[in-house]
Amino acid sequence: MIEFLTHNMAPLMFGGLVVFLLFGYPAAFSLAAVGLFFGFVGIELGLIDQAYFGNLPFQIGSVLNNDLLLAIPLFTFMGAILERSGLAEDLLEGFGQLFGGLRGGLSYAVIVVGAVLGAITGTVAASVISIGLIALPIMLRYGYNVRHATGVVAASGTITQIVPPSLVLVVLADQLGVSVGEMYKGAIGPAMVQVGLFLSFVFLLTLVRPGFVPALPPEARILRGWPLLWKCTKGMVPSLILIFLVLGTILLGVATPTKAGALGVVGAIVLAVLNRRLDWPLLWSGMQTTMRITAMVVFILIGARVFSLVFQGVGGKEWVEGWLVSLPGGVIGFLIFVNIFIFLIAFFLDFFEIAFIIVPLLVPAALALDINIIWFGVLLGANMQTSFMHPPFGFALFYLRGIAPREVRSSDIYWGAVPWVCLQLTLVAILIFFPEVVTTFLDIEQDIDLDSIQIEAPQIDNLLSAPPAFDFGEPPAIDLSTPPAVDP
Amino acid sequence: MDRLLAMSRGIDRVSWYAGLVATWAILIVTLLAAGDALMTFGLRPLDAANQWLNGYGIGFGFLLDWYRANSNAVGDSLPLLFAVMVMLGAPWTFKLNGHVRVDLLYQMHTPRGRIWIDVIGGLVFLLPVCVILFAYTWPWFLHSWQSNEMSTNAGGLPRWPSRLFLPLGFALLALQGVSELIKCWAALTTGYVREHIYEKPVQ
Repeated sequence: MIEFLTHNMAPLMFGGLVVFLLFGYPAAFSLAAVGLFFGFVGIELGLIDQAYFGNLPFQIGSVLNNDLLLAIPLFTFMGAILERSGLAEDLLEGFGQLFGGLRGGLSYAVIVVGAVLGAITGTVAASVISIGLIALPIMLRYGYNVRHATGVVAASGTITQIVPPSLVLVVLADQLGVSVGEMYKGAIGPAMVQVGLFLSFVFLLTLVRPGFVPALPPEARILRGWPLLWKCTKGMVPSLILIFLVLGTILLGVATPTKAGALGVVGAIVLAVLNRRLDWPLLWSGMQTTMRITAMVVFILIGARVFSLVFQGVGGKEWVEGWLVSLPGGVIGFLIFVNIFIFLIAFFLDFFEIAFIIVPLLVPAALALDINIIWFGVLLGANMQTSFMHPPFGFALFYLRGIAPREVRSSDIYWGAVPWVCLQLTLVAILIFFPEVVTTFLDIEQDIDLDSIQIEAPQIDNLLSAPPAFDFGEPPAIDLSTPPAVDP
Repeated sequence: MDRLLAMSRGIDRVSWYAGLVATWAILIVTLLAAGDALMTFGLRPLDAANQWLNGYGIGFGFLLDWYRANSNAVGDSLPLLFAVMVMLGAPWTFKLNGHVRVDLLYQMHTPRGRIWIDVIGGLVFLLPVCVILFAYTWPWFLHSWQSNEMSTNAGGLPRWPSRLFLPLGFALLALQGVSELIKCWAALTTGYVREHIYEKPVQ
């Protein structure tokens, strides 16, 4: 029995993870509990050294001392303010009037505005809510098919996750240990392909089902000539400034994602002031939402660090890596398996849980198979778009339900999402078989990235294999007199 | 039971104040980080302006020197404030039932079953985790405090404040856990209704 436990500790711990999570207690604490529980079992069985646990404070401290993760509150805060800054209204009214006369024009407008908003903010909530509130009633009033209207709004709001500067890409870059700027460059191609796919789908629909996407009648197109131009300018100029402030400064390398996020918040506040939307309740509720999301997300990461510290200690990394590398089909087999797995697991876990628990397990195998990590990261990002879209738990659908008029049934929202999820999966397939979509935008610096990854890995190893000189055989009071020998 | 519930309300109040600090930390971080970013672009033009104004005897070089002397302190304060918003924000978020769950099975339970999950989870997961992590992070903070460890950045801040928030946060979270357990017990034994039912937190 003891023999069996010792040899199968890693798979048992993984099983324990599933059971503890399914129990339904908040994931952050369940994760930490699995880690600590198996950690103590591991110590009893002599699998891990007691001193190994002395890494815990360093692991947790490194989560909180991470400049990149500071981008989470800043991007969230920016989204919360932009959502009600009036920018989406200006953009949608402008583009809606511009394309309105075309069949499917409102859908084109929604997709384009989704891409523009995506290039400004990094959160789905900001996009879906602002687009949905304005576009959905108009689309329904002028006879758009309900399922198509809800689907296009949810998908266009979700597109922000693959269009840089997206929060998903920041978090993935952190977990994969690559530069955010490179991730953003890599995502430019896929973002354009995704927008192209969406636009072509609407175009196809105008041919096959013209009744779903009628053109606006002339009396609904009130803006023409100069007023129309003014409306479009009023939407596009602030958008371009914000895109430069956030995305531009990161891509030029003059600001870290955190500082760019902060600039974005200030830009969004200025815009809201100019549009006379800013008041204290808006700012305060934005701050409170941001605080709650930040605490929730970062605590999942703290729990995941406790888990993975122990999982690594009992040989879990090698177990998962060996298992993944031996999948049939080599690189393509690995990628297809990973993508199907993530697509399925996303029905149960939200994006952050996948990024913090699952992704670190995949990285060693991806490195062993000599996969370009940026490409891999963008691929995962494209795949995780679907987790915001698939019924019944997808966040985008959830937000849409919150703001859709009452006559829209939930089943319409769910069915409406299906074709768009298929289009997102098409992007995943395109990326697997045509990596050039990602790599073309990465310049020639690819090799340098791979080097920097290899430099980073041993550092982590050092930290883990050289624990501080805590002595946990004795009560904590004695620890105070024997300070840790390692300076983090 | 009334006394216990009064105690629970007291704990909620503590968490609320901690959450208030965490909420303000967001605005402060935003302004500091944005100011820092603007200064990295703005320092050179400001230097030029200062030189020019010096010719008229109204230079503001002392302000620029002051910024240069303290810019590392600003840089060091960002992770500190991040620790504040996470560790002090977590208890209040927990009170609002705002930590995400894997709700596949959870949503199939009756309201009473869900309370039991919170009771068992609180006793078996949350409290032990908080106690153990407190026991590991407290000596870590204490050592940093006693040796007055400084940031490696010139002119930076001491290290101990950012470490203090780890054990402090776990202690507050454990307290909030006790408060929630009291509410669960009240809900199971009396007609007490818990304020916050679980809704999947949105991001």
